[in-house]
Amino acid sequence: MKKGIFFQIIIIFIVFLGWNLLHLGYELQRDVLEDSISASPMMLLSMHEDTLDQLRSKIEKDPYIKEIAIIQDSVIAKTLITSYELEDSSEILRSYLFPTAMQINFAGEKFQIEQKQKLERTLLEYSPAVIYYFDSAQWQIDQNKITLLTKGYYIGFGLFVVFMLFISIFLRIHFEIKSNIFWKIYYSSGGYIGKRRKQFFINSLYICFIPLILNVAIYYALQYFQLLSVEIDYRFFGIELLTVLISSLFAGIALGKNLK
Amino acid sequence: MLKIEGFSLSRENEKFMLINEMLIGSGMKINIFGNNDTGRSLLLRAIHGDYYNFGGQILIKDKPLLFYKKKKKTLLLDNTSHLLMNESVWKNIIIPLPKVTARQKQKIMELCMISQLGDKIGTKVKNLSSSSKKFIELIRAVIQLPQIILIDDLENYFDDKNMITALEICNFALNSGASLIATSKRKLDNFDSYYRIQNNKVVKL
Repeated sequence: MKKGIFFQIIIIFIVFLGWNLLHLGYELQRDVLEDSISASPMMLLSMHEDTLDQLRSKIEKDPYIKEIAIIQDSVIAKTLITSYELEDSSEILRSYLFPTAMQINFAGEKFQIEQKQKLERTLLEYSPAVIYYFDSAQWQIDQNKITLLTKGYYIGFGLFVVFMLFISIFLRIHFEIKSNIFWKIYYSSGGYIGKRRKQFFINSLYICFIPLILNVAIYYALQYFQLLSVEIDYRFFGIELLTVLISSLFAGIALGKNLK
Repeated sequence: MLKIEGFSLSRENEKFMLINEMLIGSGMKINIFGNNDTGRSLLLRAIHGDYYNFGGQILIKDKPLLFYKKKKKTLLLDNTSHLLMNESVWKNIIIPLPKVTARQKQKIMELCMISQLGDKIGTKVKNLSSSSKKFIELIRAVIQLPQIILIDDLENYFDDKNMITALEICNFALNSGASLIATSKRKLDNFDSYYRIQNNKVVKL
């Protein structure tokens, strides 16, 4: 009987491990895609620096804005001269009137379709005084990848819930039925009435908590030694615990009179 | 200890196993004997609380059987084997014990020596004879010191020599105030009191 409980703890621990890896993989991949969005800035150009200042004060508080930098026309001219070795024609360049530029870097995880549309509506108000350049195609590719990744994650998550419920209920019922003979002999030999129900409850606690505690311990150990760059929301462990608790409850209901 | 009043069993509107009154005190060995189909096993099951289709009442320490539903004070040894065949003698004896005290351990060893199981304590039960298996059940019962030990068809398991050993094992519980009720087809020796089943009635000899 003890072997059965140990076996169940090992199996549930492995399933939890797989489930956590799915979650970590999703978080890691999502971070990569969001970093890609963050790394692609929007450039705005205007001949009037005041207009850009106004625009900046209007949008800089929005949560999807990570950073805004205004680059003045003189800096642009200097940059062009340095970058393209135009020292000989510097006088000519100085005679030109360059626009002021504004660079917006986005918080990748928050800059989604609604936010992009909102920003575009704001920019429209400032058109044609302000023109902007943004790699929308790359942003769309990243968004599509995030959507696909999220869908895949939810499907995987659902499958893990179903698999965990199935495997833990099946194993629990299997080992309990296997121990029916023992309990029959236990009761007929004068054993304490109600012991099986009590033992079932204690075993449920072992099965629910030991694998989860081990997984949480591994996670925090990896965090402590800085081997993991992403964080798991503690509610995720709560869902895992809830799943095994529900499976124990179902197993208890399915076993019914066997536990008496 | 045990009081049975107006007891009867029914089969197709015919009453049998009629007991007007049966009083069994602490530490007594009772032998109830009679032919097959007289209701001996059902009487034991009724006392044990496993069979309810009977008339009259059974009281243990002046309380009805319902009182003992959750804390049984009787142990029944019947014709079926209640042993884990692939486990050792020791494991089978201690199955119902929540914790084996030093005194219990010593007593179990002592009782195993009496029943020739001393050197077989680690042997798997499936390799033992039928009488040895019954000795294990008997030791397991007496070590728990129940109020009443019920044994069905006692003479089926033991020859005359082993019967004396079995009663010697029972003495451990009897000395602590337990009672023994054993049924058989014939009258057995070394009991304190005898009841015969004749003409569907239980008569004290």
